[in-house]
Amino acid sequence: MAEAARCLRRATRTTSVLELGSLLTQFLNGATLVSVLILISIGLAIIFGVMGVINLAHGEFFILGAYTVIAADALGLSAWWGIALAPLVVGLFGALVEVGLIRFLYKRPLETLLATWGLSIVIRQLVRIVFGVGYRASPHPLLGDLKVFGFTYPIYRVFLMAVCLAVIVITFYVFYRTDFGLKIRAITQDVEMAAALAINTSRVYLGTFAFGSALAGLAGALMTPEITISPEAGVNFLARSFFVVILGGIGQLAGVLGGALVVGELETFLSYLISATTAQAAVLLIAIVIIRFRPRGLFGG
Amino acid sequence: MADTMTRREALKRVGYGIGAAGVSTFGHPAVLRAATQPMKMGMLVSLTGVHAIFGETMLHCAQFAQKEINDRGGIEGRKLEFLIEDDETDPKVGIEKARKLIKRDQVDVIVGSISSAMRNAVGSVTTKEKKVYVYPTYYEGGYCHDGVFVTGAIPNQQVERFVPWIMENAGKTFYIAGSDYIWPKETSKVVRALVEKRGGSILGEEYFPWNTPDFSSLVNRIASAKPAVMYSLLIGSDSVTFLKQFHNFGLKKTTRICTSGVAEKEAAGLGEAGIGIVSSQSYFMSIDTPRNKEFVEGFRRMFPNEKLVDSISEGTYNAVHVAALALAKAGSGDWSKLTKAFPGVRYKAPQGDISMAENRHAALNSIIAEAYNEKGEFRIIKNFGVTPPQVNCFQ
Repeated sequence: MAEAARCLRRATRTTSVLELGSLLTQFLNGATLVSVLILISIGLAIIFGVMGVINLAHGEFFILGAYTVIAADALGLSAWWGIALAPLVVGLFGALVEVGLIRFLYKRPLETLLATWGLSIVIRQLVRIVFGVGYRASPHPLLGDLKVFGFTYPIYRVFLMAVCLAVIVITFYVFYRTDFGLKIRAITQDVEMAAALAINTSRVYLGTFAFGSALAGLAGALMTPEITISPEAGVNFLARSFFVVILGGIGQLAGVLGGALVVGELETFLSYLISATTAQAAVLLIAIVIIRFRPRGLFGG
Repeated sequence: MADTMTRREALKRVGYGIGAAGVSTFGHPAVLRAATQPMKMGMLVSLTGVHAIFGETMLHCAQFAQKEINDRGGIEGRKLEFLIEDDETDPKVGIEKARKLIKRDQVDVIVGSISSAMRNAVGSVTTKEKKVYVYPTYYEGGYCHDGVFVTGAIPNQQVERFVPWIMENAGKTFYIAGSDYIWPKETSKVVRALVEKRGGSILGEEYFPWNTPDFSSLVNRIASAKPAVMYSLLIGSDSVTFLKQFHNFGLKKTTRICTSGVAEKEAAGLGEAGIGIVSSQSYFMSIDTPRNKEFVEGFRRMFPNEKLVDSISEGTYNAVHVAALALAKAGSGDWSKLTKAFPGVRYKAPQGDISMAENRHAALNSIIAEAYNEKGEFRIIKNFGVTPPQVNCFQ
């Protein structure tokens, strides 16, 4: 009852005009979480959609991106260098993983599950060996506020959303406007037919996996000022991203956007209105209900 | 007593004599064998999983204590031997490993654990099996079971002297946020009582699930509430994530962060976001005494890669020394003798003098310090000296 009363009190408070700034802040807070979830989930979704690989090491790719910033900092390079290098470093790492491991497991989804889970442990331990087990910090690249009509919001979060928007545009462009995208879509529909039409499937697979990894790396690098950097940190985002992909509709690019929007904004707004623990449980519950009535996800055919 | 001591001494010498003569002690009376065998201590720490960040240094601090004890001739002439197990930050594994240490390895004492869940898991085994267990981490207090001794601080030791200081130096309006489990909730009860008794007010109190990736909603609410003090009881990575975001929103300019959940390791993860945070612990690495200097230098000589020691690791170091002193007092790991031997044990710890009270908890130092650089180092603001543990048994 106390919870309900508090919820009601807060709900009425948020609707008052005086709190409009607070409400806008809350919307932007949600948008930041949505952006990050999109960046991570797109990679997860296209790797699964195209290759049928459920990548349990995706959270570790995210962490590798964060540690690229730490490594750049240790070399005396600024955080911007770290952010620029992260997608390259992690994309290259992803390509190596594809050639060295994933390639042998194309038609065996269960084995990829096991292999990528094992890979996630290997990456975590390697990070521990190289960077130590402790939390790491890197200098904030862009501390300060954006001021518009007396309303202020941290400028770095605005930058984060802008990058995410750019990535969405680029990804959609690659998928629906380029030759490579056409091949990807062909393979997604029918691998054998695509191969028969002289599409080099293994090269497309390699490109897809590297691209998905690079996006996770970019997300990790971008998030370094906002999260705890430790070898274990990938798990938090991995679970939510799987959730986003399943909710949005597996193998759908637009589904990722919808899923992230629902999960991110819902969690942020609910945790403003009710206790965070209840909010996280409520988001899960709502998602279960959605999947019950739309088993193929919000955007699934 | 004196005459039993000399008898044991005599037996020990006989034991050594036999050993030196190269004759096996096999077949001799058990008491004779026992005197030459090492004392066994089980180290049950998190070497993998999310608590590995603390567990590794805990183990190293324990090993440093072990080396000090053995260099001085062991416990009553018997070498101190460690059996190390990884609880994988999972209480189910903790229970299994505690059983293994007791049943198979036949340890005399178990030392370790970080979280309350892990302590309850391990304690449930040790109390049933009648083995002594020493828990070295600061916690919510009130865990009263036979044979479980605590060398970490409890809320009255972390908060009682801290809150009046905050109200004098930072302000009287508080906002409390913590991780959603027992330690933050019990600690906040003590904080609230002290604040309200002194005419201050609590503007908000909230709890968050583990691994919350985004605390911006909380930051937004704190910005509207405008408290003078943000009392953080979030722990581990959640503490770091929240404090970074709090800093990024620029709230540190108007609201002071006070906490009993941030020490050197968390502050190192915060970098510049950590500067200015005031924390209350029983130990800080920067305590400027010859004893602490000797501890930190000796530890770093043994483990050159270790950068930071925090109150949990120092608590573990103290736990090994206190257990060794109690074992020496009791003469063996025998349950009834050893549980009686713990109360009254005094030890000159790196934090200052500590002692075991009758209520199975330790009288520890209450110290407040401020993080002053991006490397996670603290500057001592005030050392209140020893605070006795006030335990109301409820678990």
